[in-house]
Amino acid sequence: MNDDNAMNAERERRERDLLQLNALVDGELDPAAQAEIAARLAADRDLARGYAALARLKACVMEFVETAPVMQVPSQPASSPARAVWRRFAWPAAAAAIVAILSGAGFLAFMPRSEPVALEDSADRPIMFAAFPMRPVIPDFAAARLSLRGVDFRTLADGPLLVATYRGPRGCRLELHVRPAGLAAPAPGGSRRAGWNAGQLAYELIAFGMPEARFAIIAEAARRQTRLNADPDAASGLRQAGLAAPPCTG
Amino acid sequence: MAGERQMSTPPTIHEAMVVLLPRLVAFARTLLGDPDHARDLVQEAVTRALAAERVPADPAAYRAWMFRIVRNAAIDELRRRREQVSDSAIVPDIWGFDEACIAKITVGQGLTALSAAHREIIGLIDIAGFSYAEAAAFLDLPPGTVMSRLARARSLLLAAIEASTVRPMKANKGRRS
Repeated sequence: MNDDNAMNAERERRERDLLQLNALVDGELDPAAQAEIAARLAADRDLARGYAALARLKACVMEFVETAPVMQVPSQPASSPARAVWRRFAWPAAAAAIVAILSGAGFLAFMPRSEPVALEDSADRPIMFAAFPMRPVIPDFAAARLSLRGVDFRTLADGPLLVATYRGPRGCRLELHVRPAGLAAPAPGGSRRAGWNAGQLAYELIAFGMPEARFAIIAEAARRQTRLNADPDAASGLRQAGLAAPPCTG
Repeated sequence: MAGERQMSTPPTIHEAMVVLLPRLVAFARTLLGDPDHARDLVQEAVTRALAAERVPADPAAYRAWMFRIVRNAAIDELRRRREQVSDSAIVPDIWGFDEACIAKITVGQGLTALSAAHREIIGLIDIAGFSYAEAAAFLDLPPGTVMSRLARARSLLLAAIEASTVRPMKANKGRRS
């Protein structure tokens, strides 16, 4: 019985000590309590080891903040009443924090692809490409964690339609529709849409449930990629700049 | 809560958000465990915050408000995943812990072994930088519960680190000849 009491008393003492040590590590003790525990730490090796472990643990957890990727604040949604004010300071505020665009989609704009991706498996490709006035570009959104799940060729009443489907890990879904410019767009769908022309093709990006700011970033990256591809002079100029440029020395 | 009904000027708000972003991401990461999901979640939370017509004017209230948005989004995400993590029945003993085992990599792995509530309290205190009183108000818990939950969470984290097979490499203090 005495042994049980002694064990219980010891356990309670350890639990109290644990609370005290945590509070000490977090700077939550008042000066008197700090002085008391400091004196005990000097005399109790186990207690000092426990304190050291907790302090190091806290320091390691805090390092997650320093290594967390810095993100860009998305642009103000159109519905917000503060939109006009946001525009005025958006760039300075973002510049202060931007290192990488959260979704990673932004850098796609600077990585033009001259070849469409993931079309190799399509048995209909030669025929379907012949139906398009120029080769469609399927942007790579992998950096935005949207992977290409499939490319489908459809035949509409007045011409061909290419539908590329992308999916993200959290239910995000995008479709890219490509058709010869001048053909009527298919029936509307999705929660957000962005359309543009690039050369002789009309592109339409359709999102299902994606936040507006993220969609805008991805759509802009896609627009630039497809337009760059549609402008052979710009693309070849970039390639030349990459191949023939002297080393950057300063 | 009255502060949440006041309007404040957007530049101040968004400048505050920029400062908070790394902590919000790190906090979300402690809750979800995955840095990519954490970034996605915070992006959505920030977008939601930007769309809000009324935001807290007081910086401390604004910080709590932002962390609450991220927390609620994380809870939704965890519900979607139907995460069921139970507390370890092991009573951890921190007194003989080998401090050399504690490194960022082992802490990161250890956090994934904790329950959502334990990850959350560590995130609030160590990452968000909340005081015990602020965390108690945030979680609507008595301060004593916050203290005991935090102590328990850290003890379990240390136990998870100790049980892990991952060990940080020892620094080579000597010179090679």
